[in-house]
Order: sequence, then C-alpha cells, then structure tokens
Amino acid sequence: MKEEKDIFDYIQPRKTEVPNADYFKQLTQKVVEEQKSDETSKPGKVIPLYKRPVTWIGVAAAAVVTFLVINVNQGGPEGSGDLLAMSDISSEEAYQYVDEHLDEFDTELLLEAIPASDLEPHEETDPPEKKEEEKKEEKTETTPSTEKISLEDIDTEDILRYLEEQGIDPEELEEDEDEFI
Amino acid sequence: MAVHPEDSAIIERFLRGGSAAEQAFSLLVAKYGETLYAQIRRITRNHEQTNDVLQNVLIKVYQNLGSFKQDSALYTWMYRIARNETLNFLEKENRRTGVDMDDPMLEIVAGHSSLDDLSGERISELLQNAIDNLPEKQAMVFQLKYFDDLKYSEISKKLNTSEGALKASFHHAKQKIQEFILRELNL
Repeated sequence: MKEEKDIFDYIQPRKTEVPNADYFKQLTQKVVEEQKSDETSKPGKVIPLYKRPVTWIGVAAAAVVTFLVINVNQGGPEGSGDLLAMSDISSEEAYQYVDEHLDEFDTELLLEAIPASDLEPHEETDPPEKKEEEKKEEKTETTPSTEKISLEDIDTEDILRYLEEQGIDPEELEEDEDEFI
Repeated sequence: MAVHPEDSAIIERFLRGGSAAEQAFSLLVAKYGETLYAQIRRITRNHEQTNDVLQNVLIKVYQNLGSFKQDSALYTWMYRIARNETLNFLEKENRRTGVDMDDPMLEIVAGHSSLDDLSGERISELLQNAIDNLPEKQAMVFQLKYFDDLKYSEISKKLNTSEGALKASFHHAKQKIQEFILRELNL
C-alpha cells in the first residue's frame, strides 16, 4: 500500500478573514494623527529633580551655609577661628548669597533642607536676629537645628566638592560629628 | 533584493514629509495592509489582538520608513516588523483572553491515515512551527502563495523577485514543511 506522504493533499487552508478597505483607511488616519500629535507635543527631556547636578550643588550649598551659620552661634573650638572669621558675616550674607543665587538652587529642595523658620524670616525684614534667637534656644540641646535638616540624602562627596570650590578647608571645620550633622 | 520601483516611489514621496508623507503612507497601507493583517491574524487568531499588533507595526513603519536602507524588498522589511511585533505581543499578552478565536488555519481532508487522528488545531500548530523553521524568504513566499493565494506575478511585485525563483522557493518550502511535520508525527 502506497504510503500517503504528500500531506498537502490532505490539508486545506482556511481563508483568513480580513476587514474591508475602510478599516485600513481609518487605521492609517489614526496612525498619522498619532504621529503628528507626538511630534508637536514632544516635551523637552525631563530630568528628575534628583538627577539635576545644580539641585545637589544647591542643596550642598544650602547645607554648608546653614552649618556655617550654626557654627557662628554655637562658638566652636579654637581651631575653628578662621571659620568664625569667615562666619562673622555669614548670617546676613549667607542669606544674601542664597537670595542672589536662588535661581541656581532648587527651591523645593531648599525648603526641605532648611527649616521653615530659617526661610520665612529671610523673606521678611529681620531674618538674622530672629534666627539667632532661635539658634540660641537650640544651643542648649544636644543636637543642633541641623537635626531638622535632612542631610542624609546629600552625598558627602558633593559637600566636599562644594567646600573645595569655595576655598573652605574641610579639616578646619568642626570635628564633632554630632554638631556637624 | 532591491526595492521594487513602485515601492521606491512611495518611499521617495514619504521622504518629502508633510502631506506627501501622509499620502505615501496611505498608499503603503492600501498596498500591504491586508497582507500584513492576514499574516498577523493567522497567529493571533482574533481581530482585537490583530488590530493592536497591526497598529504597532504601522507606527513602527511610519517612524522608521525614513531610515529604511532599501537593501531588501519593502514588504520583506514590513513582514519582519510584523512578525516580531506579533511574537512580542503574544509573549506579553495571554493569547486566549476570552475573545472569540478564529478557527484553526487548516482543516484536515480525510484520507491520510496519520492525519486523520489529528485535530485542525494540532495540524495548524505543526504547520506554524514548520513555517517558523523556514528561512525568512521561503516562509514569506509560502504564506503569500499558500494562504493568501496570490499569483506568482503578484508575489513577484511584492518581493521584487522573479517568478521562477518564487516557484522554486515555494516548492522547497513545501518540501521542508512536509519533512518537518512527518518527523514530528514520527512518520
């Protein structure tokens, strides 16, 4: 008995159902419209906040400025004399600096990094005095107001880099980690 | 395999951009849309998923036609995109999503002792696997001839290949498919 081998004699293809021409016209229109709207509404590349280098530099700057302000009011050891000299003008000028360079800072992160009490007075008439009073109150506490500032997310390298750029010798900064943090 | 002059003209028009590009794209879909649709639907076996896949395919064609190197026939390029999109889509989606599935692409004609025991589903699956094992060009030729029942002259225009070469390609494809299926059935 001849073995049937040609299977194509025993199978039949079914016709695939295909929509009419209107379907393809509509689909074409849809694709073209979509491409048009994609081209016109293409947003600029969005860089997340945490990836913006300016943001981190700004946060580091704000943290350093705040640290300097705190050091002035707490009175560090002798070794920080130079720092104190520098910080003689830090309270007012620190705020001035931040104010003048505010465009470089990410406002939202500044608000997070710096206590509200420090920011609000700066927008009003006498920030420094009021701020100094607050700092004096905090002086008695074991942890300074920096406690409120979240430095956890700031990379140490960013801070060190900023200090270097500003000509500040990190060695001369307060060694007490608790106070620094 | 160079691009057919008709397709070259479409591409050239597309490259002008603006309304010329839209017209060119419409021509392209009018020319190849049905074939692409059928190719996809044979695998997805329902209109909804075919519609989704085809839309993705056409979007990719639109976005990349400008950079198509024309080192193959235009349909070959689109066939490749459609095939990849279909397989990717099915990997992500469950094929059976509760929608009505098409009947299997093959039905069995009684008379072959080994095939009589098989279901249409099974033989269709075997055939699809066999096609997947073919070289790309043979797979294309086989599907255009066997399922779409196109004339060799029509396939020749689509693939910019001579009719003689197409006939040879189809013949070889059928041989390989037969060997594959018989091997799978241990015959």
